Amino acid sequence: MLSRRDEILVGLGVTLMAALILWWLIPTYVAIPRRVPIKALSPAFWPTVIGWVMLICGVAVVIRAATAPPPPDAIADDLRVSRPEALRLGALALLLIATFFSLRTVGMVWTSMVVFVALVFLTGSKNRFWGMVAAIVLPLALYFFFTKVAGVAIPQGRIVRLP
Amino acid sequence: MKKTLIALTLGTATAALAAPAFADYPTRPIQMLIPYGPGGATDLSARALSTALTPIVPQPVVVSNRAGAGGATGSVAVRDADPDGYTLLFARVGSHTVNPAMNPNLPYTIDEFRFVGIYEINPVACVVNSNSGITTIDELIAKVNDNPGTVLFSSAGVGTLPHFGALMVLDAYGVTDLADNVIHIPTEGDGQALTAVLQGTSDFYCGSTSPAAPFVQSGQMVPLLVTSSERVEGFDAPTVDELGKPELKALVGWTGIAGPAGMPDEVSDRWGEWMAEAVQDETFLNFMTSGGSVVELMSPEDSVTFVNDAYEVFRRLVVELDLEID
Amino acid sequence: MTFMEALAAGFTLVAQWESIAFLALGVTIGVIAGAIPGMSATMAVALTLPFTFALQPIFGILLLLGVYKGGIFGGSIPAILIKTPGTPASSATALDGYPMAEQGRAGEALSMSLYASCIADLMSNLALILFAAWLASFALNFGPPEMFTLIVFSLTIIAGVSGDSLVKGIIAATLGLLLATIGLDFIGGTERFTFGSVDMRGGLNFVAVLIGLFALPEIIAYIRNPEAKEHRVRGMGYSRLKWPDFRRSLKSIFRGSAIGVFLGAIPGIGAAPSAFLSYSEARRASPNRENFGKGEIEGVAAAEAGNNGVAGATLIPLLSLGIPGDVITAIIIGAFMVHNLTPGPLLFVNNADIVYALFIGLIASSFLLLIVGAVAIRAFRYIADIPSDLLFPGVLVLCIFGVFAINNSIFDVAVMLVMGGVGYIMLLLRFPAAPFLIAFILGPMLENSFRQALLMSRGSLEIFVRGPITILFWCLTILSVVMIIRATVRAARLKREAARSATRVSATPKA
Repeated sequence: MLSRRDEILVGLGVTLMAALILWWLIPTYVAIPRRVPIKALSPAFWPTVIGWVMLICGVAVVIRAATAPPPPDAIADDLRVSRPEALRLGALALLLIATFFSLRTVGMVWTSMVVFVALVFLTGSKNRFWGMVAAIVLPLALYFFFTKVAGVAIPQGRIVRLP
Repeated sequence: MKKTLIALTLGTATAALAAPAFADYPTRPIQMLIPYGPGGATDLSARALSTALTPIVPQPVVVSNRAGAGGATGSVAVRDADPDGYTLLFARVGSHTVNPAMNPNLPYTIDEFRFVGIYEINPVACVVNSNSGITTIDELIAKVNDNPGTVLFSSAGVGTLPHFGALMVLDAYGVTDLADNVIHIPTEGDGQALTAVLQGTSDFYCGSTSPAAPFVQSGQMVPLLVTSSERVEGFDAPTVDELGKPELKALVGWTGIAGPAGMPDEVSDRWGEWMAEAVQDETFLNFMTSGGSVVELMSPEDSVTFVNDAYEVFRRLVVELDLEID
Repeated sequence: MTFMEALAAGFTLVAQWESIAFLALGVTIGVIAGAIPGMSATMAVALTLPFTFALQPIFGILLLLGVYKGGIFGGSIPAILIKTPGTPASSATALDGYPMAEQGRAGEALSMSLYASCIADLMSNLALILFAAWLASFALNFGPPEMFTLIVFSLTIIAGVSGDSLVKGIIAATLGLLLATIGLDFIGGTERFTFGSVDMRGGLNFVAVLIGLFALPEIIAYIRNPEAKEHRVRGMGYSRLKWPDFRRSLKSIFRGSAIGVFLGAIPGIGAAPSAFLSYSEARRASPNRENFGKGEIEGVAAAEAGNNGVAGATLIPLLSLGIPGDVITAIIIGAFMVHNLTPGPLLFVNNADIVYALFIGLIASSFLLLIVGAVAIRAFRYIADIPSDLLFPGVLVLCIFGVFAINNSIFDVAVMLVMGGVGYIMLLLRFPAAPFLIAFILGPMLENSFRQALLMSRGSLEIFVRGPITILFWCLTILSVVMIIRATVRAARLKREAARSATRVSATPKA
């Protein structure tokens, strides 16, 4: 369970998101056809209903957190992130973004090898040797399985192509 | 290891250098995208053809699905690929005539593709539930005219052949004001669209003969017309020629192979040869005809004309009847 | 041909060793394909189809059915071991299967999943043989209004998987429903929330979303703190299923099979709603309700039974009406047609021997699944022994390949990665993932059937109470909503009392 303060913030966040959906996303990004015979058939009908439910629930979370007795501090979850944790999470985020963009250019197999090794080092694993072996073998095995057996064209990239 | 790596690198390098000269095409596997999901009519037809192509094409043919948005996702992926003949598309009537004709917001046009051959034609049939009491197209038209705004037809989705097909048939029989006089119920595929007819959710369906064949053969549905010039085996229905509506012969489904527009002639020629051989394959022929399709190979030039003509006919009708999706 | 002659002819067809061999081969291919994320049962069946053209009709069809059955069970293996469900249906299995694996009880979970699958499969096949005609007429009465009421009722299971806050469960569900609306509008064909992207027009891929939501948060949590103790207890995956556990799960298995049979017979629903409905019913009826979602073996049994109970029943509309209930049966229709067999009522008249051979083969497939599955479990459970520092990077690489392979789309990989981030934030803020997922799966069905029904009735809402089936589901919905409200009120009162007594204790001066 979250602490009272965190829970109220979450509720406010949900309410804000619902408001954005209702009054910004739906009017801007839902194209309405010229002919809509019945209001319930409009493409915006469902998203609007869903948005309202979300808005009401967000408000409910705020009210409940504000009125109900807060969980004792000992039980409440701590959302704080320690410095090394934050560094690792940041590194992971950067790694995944880089992964996505290199899939097409470098190719899925080589990228996966780098990701694997990077994760092994990021977590300070003791199994470095086996990590290296797995980093090379697993992507190759997956590549051969998917291309040769399952007939899936795994992205090869523009640098080095596998047979 | 090092040696193979070098060989691999060199292989790519030479392939890249030799790109303008296509004399030895293909030098690596050819990827062929199906813009619809596994199990659909396009998928089955494409996989049957690629099985027949395997012994003929000197390099492996890798068939993969890239479904989404009524064929648009896969079509765009091929349009944006290098026009080197290593990424091709199984184009279909829905993705390359009906949808472009009906949807002005489509992210591609048919000019952005180069067709190398159409190999399959599916006549369209209009079917109704056999409990409906309707046995001829005139009775159906009379029902539409007598009960404006209540008759329903099902399709495989917005901008698919059955969506357009039903409207085109009704128009040919003089039904006006289509948006108000009939109701379109989109479903998620031909199977569901026919299920809707069987359940009574929808009154009729005008789409390819192949998905409708089992229901017609078992007597659960009655065919009202077929859009071929000769009668279709197993469909006891008059042709549009017999009915005096030859203009409906433009309403047929088809499947073909296309690449990005800039594809060189060499690639197109090679495919013309391969396809001519592949469509002779007996297993392939048997599979296609068992599903009610007609295997009819068109040369690359004929294919382009065919697609453009079909598009023109559909587009004119869409504009005339105000059927655009927007 | 009389019934006995047809049965005898069918038996001779199956009693050839090739029949059993092809069936076994199919089940093996299916289990392996199902166990690899990115290779679904559908894909495996589609890939096998061309090979059946050259075979005798009965061999080809048995091969495909084997792949189908094996594939559905195979999906539970990665769901349990690495929380990477390859299909929406097996994500229900991951809810309790993965916590069990984390507690070192992977062996138990896998065995339970296998037994539940085989029993449900057998039940489903028996239902196909005995009640095909009756269930087919039920399927024919199931139009869009009935579908809508069924989905509304199914959404009430969100309450059962919301954990300790129903409101937060509903918020997660609305998020799922909203993401499901991305793409081209079903009725009008216009764009919704596509932001001009071609890839978004097709909507978000199911499997990419669910792998992102389930598997990736585990990886992120591990990277954040590799020393945390919950990553250390894995390993001992050799625990054996205990008889009392199996016996108390039997009721849920049978209930799940029955749910699977009914929902499987209705075209267009698929296995996922059945798995979740079976799971939530088992939770409601179980005395161990509190333990569901934390590694309750009955939850695994119920989810797998609901999932596999569908497999035989989807053949009911196929064989008796010619209707493909899902994509896999649509492919199997192709296999029938290529051999000049027309699925539908005529099949029983013209090819009764094939029909009975199929029935016998289906029964045999349940037993073959038991054998092949047991071997597969033995082979795959070594995954549970891989140390976390190698397992999690491996799972990430596997997810990248697998998610790409589903639709050959790099965009899907991006969807998975982004959903991984969303899933991790939801985990931190204590939003349950299961309601999100259920809503994401059911959302399109809910909206589409609602709008189809309104098209049929030209806007009149009366269509939603048009027959006994719709009224039945409305009653069930009202009943479960009342029960949810009662349970929530009771839980709130208990919590308040507990809090009050806690404050009293702390307020009481030390005497």
